[in-house]
Amino acid sequence: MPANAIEVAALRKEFGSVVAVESLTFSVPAGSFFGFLGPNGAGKSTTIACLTGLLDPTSGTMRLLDQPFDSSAVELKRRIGVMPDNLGLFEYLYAHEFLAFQGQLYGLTRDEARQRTEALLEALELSDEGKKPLSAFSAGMRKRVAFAAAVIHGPDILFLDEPFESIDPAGVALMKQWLRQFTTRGRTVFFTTHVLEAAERLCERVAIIRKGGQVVWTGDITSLATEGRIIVDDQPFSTLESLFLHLTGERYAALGWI
Amino acid sequence: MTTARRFLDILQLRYLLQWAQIRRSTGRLIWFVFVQVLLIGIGLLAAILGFGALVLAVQTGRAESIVQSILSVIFLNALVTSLVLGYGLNQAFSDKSLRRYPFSYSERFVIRHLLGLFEPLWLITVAGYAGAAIAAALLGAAPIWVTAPAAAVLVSINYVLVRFILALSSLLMETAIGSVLLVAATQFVFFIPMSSRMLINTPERRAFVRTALTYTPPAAAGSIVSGVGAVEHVIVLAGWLVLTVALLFWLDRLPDRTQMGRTGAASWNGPIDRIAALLPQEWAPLVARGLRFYLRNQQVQLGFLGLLVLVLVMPAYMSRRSQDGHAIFETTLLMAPLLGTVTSVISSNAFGFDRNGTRRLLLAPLSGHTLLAATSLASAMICATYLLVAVAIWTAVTRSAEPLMVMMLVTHGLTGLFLFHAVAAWSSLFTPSPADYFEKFRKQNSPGSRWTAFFMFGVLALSFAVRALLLGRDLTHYWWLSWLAAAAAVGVYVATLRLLAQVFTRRRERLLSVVEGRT
Repeated sequence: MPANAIEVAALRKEFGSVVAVESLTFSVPAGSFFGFLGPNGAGKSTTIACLTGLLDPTSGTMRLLDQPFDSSAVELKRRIGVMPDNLGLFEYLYAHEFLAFQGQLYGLTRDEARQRTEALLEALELSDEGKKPLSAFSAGMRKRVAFAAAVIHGPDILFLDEPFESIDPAGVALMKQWLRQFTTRGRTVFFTTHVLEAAERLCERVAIIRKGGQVVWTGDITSLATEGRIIVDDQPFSTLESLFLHLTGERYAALGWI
Repeated sequence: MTTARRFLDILQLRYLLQWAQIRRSTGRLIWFVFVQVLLIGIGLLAAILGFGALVLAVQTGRAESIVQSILSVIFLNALVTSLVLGYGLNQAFSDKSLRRYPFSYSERFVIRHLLGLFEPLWLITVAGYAGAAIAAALLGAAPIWVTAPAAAVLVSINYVLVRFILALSSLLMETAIGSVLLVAATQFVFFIPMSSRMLINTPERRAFVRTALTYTPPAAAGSIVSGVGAVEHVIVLAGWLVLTVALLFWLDRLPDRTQMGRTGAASWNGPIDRIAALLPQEWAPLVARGLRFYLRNQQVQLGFLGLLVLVLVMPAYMSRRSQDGHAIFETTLLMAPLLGTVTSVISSNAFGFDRNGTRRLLLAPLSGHTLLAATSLASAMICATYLLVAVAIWTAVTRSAEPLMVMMLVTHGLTGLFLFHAVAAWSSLFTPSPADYFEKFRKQNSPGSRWTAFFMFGVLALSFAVRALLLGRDLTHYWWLSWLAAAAAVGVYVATLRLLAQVFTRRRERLLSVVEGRT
């Protein structure tokens, strides 16, 4: 396993005249739980889209698992799992059909895909929903299915875009347990979230980007858990939220009438 | 804020949304202005025709029967255009989307259907009725305060009746027995024109039908508009309005069960799983998904029946006076390419109907060629099976079927199938448009799917032209031509998929952006 699972250098993505991500450079150690944080519209989803081969960057380089990566890297794509922000579900399929589809597409045999699908649906308490199309699932159930689809083939890198929203506490606890197990086996989790408490508890490292898609800080945050604070720019911060607000310049607007 | 004011706000919102959709590209804006001008023109024409017909009717002294006929034509035109062709069915807002606003259920019901009346088809229908009502008043047949309400009530009945039939059809489609009933009812309607001469063949029966027709909405409204109406006509009209609104209201309140599904264990060995198991590992999941994508779509399901009627019944009807069995064969043969297009409702905009699922496909470890080819193959497999079943039915019901005829029907059908799928793959990639997979009746044509339809009509026209201009009497002598055409169509299909695979990488970002509604 290489030292870094993900290496990004000078990544830039433009949509016409709009620069969504600019000069993005960071690396993610293999086997780590990496949080990619930033305000709305900062370019988090665009970065994940580039790193998963959905979009081609305008310039810059990406390496996954020590190999150059772009949207045509079919073999490398088999080694990553993705839970996109819009979940990317086929609404007309049943959950088991969708998961079996996903498993087989990523290289599992039919029998393997079936066994893993049944185990995942059982664990996520969805095994009684075998006659219901995904369009009829609640938001939380849909998210569980999308999560199961991302992990079914046992990827080396897992990209999760806002994975915990809409899921009930029991579901979140289960997912966190699986993700920790995932990283202890040397696999890497790269995830975005607005729930900074979750990032604080789960991540060893984070990158914080601001609007315009520029990394303003990247580093180890384990001291928040061990020492109760982190020193950045010679200032102590007791929570990831306070650090985030300091670095991104985001402020709470005061609306007296609320 | 009054209900009327809130309604106007919603109406304004509906057009703001439409405008927001249109202004995203200059081309669409020009197209929108063109369509609006065209619609105004058609509306004016409809009004003038309604007006002119009334003038003629009064001058000839047969006002009542002519007005009844005119109103019936407008009434039936709106019914057929919406129910068969799927136009004029956009309500702009669903009940669910209106729930966020401070309206009661009844208010939401009225708002939805009043907004539905602002669809182009209904505006044209209103123009036609209005033309007749104004003309009748100006010519002194009846005062405007009589003709205008009669026309207004008639258009309301017309619209509500369409909505009721659609709601009833949706309800029937939720169950297997209901679907069978719906199919039987549809077939019955298709056979009415053919069977009416046989069934209504005595003076007594004709008189009975004539009397029954006077109780239809356009006949009652026609009597009122032409100034010979009595209280009974008003009662008939009011009765229809109350009945259709009450039925629609009742059906509207029933919960939508189509998306509820059932609880139960997963099934792993269905026919699609078994078919997919025969395919190579890389293709199997994609083709299985594709088969489910097409076969679970209700518009495609309805298309199975409609096309069968069009291609198998129509030739028999068109050739009914001919004693020559070859006449039916030849007409069927020339229409056979349509049998290869039975998934056309969604296959010419495949990514647009998959919407967010398209992201999943683009993330997958697949080459562009595999993705395009597997998606197209699933549709082609369904169309090919349908073609074979249709030809088998034709062979069974046609006494004069010969092996050469059967072979030619299949090969000519395959020509249509491969040509259609080549154009559909092109249009899916180059002119995608976000669409609602679960919409049952309303047409959701992308620009490319319209061009695909034109293309297939071109194929039919070419077939008829070749038949008329170049060939001798017996088409079976030209069996080799059907083979040649099919081989050429396969070549076009394979070449198209290869070509599209090359441009796929360049188009994928644009494709995703459009189908996810961001452009």
